[in-house]
Amino acid sequence: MQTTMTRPGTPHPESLLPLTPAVFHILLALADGERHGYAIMRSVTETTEGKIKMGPGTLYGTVKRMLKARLIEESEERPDPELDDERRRYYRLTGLGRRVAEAEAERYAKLVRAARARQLIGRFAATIYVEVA
Amino acid sequence: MRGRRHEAAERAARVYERLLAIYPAKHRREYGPLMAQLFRDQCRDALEREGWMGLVGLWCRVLWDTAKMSVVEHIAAIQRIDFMKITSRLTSSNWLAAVAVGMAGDRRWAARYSRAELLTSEEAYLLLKRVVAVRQFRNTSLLEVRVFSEDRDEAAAIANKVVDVYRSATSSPPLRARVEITDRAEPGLRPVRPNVPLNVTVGLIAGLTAGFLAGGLVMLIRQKQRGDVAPSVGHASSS
Repeated sequence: MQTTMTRPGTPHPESLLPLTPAVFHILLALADGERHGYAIMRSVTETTEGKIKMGPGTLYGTVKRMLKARLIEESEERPDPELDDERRRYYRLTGLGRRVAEAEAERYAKLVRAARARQLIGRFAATIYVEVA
Repeated sequence: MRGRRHEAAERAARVYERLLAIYPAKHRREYGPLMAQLFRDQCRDALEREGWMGLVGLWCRVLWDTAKMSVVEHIAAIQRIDFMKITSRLTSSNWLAAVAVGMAGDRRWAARYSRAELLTSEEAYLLLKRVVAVRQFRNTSLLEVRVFSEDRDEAAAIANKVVDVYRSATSSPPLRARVEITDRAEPGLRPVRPNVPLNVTVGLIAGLTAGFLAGGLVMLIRQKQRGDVAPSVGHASSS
């Protein structure tokens, strides 16, 4: 049996599921490092192949709620100030945020497996013919 | 061409900054500059990738986003702050009693009320109840805690104590509220009651208004008297 140690007062990741698409996309964008608002938005657009384009209101409204839920935190570190505008705020995942993202990804993976079992996701076939002498 | 696009992005961002006025004040203060900066970046991006049509498309998406999210944020702000509840809680006996416990131990406070020994919590509570006033500040998300006292330092000390007690009590469950002090209470420079400059100004305006009215009335009466006399003189001369 696997047990996870959590700080008192920290919610269990499963209790926060399912996440809204905006929250999950932001968690995904921050999974490989800290980013500022515009970089998060670009990452979401790229990941969804342009299908989801977050507006400033949705992005920062969601960021505010995620900060409050302690899924993400503001990063104090800044890249070279000459390369970047210092007014930008950078965000990164907290430990809880990463666990919640993993749990949500696992939930999606189970759904995909279920959809595949019901043949809702198409399968491709590749066939090769070899002549045997 | 690049310069024109840059200028268009800047102009669009300025319009968007004005549009942000429809968000709740607190959200705007905290995230307004970041949202405007993000929109500016989006404008540049849209113009570079798709030209003017890209900018039109971005505006359509952002107008819908702003309308939708401003409603969401207003609802969240209303749910978050129930000022009536906080005000009544802050002035309730339980909370003021907690402040009174702190103030009752203040030897200077006891001395002000000509007491050799310290005040009891009950006495301190009764004194506080008369001098603490809590209200929402001008339809914003700020709460104003005002304390009246003949001693300016004492007024500031009590006001700060009320908020400190509230903050420490609400920082843990089940209340768990985020209370941020925007301005700590400082001793006032001059008394608010009586407000001498205000009283002098009101007196001056009232005096001038009364003077003009009285002058106008006297002139009216005199004109009326002359009017009454003139026809009778005319009538006498014609006969």
